[in-house]
Amino acid sequence: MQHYKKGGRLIVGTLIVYAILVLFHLGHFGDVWPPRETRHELGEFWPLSIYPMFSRGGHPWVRSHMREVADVSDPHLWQPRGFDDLPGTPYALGPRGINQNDIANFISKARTWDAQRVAGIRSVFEDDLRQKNLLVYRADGTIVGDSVSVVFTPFLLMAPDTTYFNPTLEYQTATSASP
Amino acid sequence: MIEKLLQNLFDYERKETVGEIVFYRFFELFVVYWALLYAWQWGPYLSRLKDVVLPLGIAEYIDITFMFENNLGIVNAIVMTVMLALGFLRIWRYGYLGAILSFHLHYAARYSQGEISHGSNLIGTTILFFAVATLAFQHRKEIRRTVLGMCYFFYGIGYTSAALCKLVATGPTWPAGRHLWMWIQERTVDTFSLTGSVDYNWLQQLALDNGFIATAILTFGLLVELFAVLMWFKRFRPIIMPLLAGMHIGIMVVMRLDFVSNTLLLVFLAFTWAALIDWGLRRLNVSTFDTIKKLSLRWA
Repeated sequence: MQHYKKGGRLIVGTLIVYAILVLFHLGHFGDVWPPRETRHELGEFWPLSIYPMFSRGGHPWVRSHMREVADVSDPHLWQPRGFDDLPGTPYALGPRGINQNDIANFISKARTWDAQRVAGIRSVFEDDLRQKNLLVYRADGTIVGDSVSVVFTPFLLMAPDTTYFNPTLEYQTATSASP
Repeated sequence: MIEKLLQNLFDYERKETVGEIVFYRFFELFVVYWALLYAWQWGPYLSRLKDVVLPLGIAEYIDITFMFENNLGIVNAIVMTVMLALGFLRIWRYGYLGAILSFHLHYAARYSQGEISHGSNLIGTTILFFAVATLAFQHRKEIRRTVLGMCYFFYGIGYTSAALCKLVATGPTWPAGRHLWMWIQERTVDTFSLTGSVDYNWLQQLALDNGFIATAILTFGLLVELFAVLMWFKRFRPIIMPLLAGMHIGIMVVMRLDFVSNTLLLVFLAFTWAALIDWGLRRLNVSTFDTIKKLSLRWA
């Protein structure tokens, strides 16, 4: 009986710590609670979680896609595109051991794009950026009628010697930055 | 009711068999193996990181960038390895506690780039339970029963909480087939980015072509998650835990997201594998059985 009491206390104690930690690090619970302006910034307390993944059904999403392009001066480069008419060739992340989620989240969650942030994303592609131009697309998915629309908008063009921002988009910093 | 629940979870008074000890050591080895895998996958990756996009866990309180652009990721992987070895080989009581602390630091550094990954959560919580149970109890039998009981309790809460999050954030329309279409397309963009080509597997195509099937897939997932707390009770474990494992396999095919360690953990804990091991041991000759018994007690 003594063991059961101890086991029960362990469960209750762990549950209390669990509840406190996830309550105070509850930034990812849809847009329901707590209000965005009051929530503690983004997160859970690994390994404890309320597991909110896929909780927002039908919610628009933002991902990323990368292309290798030859001509950085092409004015049509900055046009939004669909799956089938993207310029250049795909820059596949898998064979290079780069995590797709990291790049997608860089694009969707980074709020400011100052020199440090640009240096951060460039550092991931350091080796290839010595000789390639890499265009990072922001992919926006939304439900339109009875189908899903995916629009690829150019977000960042990383050339060997500089980085360009899409002139038609607004960023929380200058419109271009040096690496 | 509470007594019944605690008995279902821990079952302390039931005599322990050799098969149970052998099973537990395999279970423990499995968890340690996955923790090591994460340690050594994430460790070298940290040297490539530079900036924090999303601070998680301890990174909300300290500047985690000290782990980037140097070899500290590898140093922390070594610390984790040593701590896990000390815990697993019963050399130091605080081994698993040290392991979970360095594991947390490792996760906070690795997932500072915006993604909130849940693939390693069950392995992490199990290491946490190894630590908590080892510190709370003296005898190995009670430690083993406590770890398993806590796994059933908190795994159940985790999955049911996932279902409640869906119902709160979206409501009863969460299983609508078009929501699955959105996730399939999201994952297709990810696959496109990873491989450079776009393709849909047969189940994705089936769900995209037929809204009813897409709704049925999501309804199954939601219901299975919602009833996950049934794993608190012995009689339901062989039903609900394989269903949850099946849900993970479905997610792997439809969403191309693999939760391999979670799926295998569920299979590990769903059935009474110890009884199968005991059945096998009874068929061995006496001296072999004695050797296994001695070894299992020595390394319990």
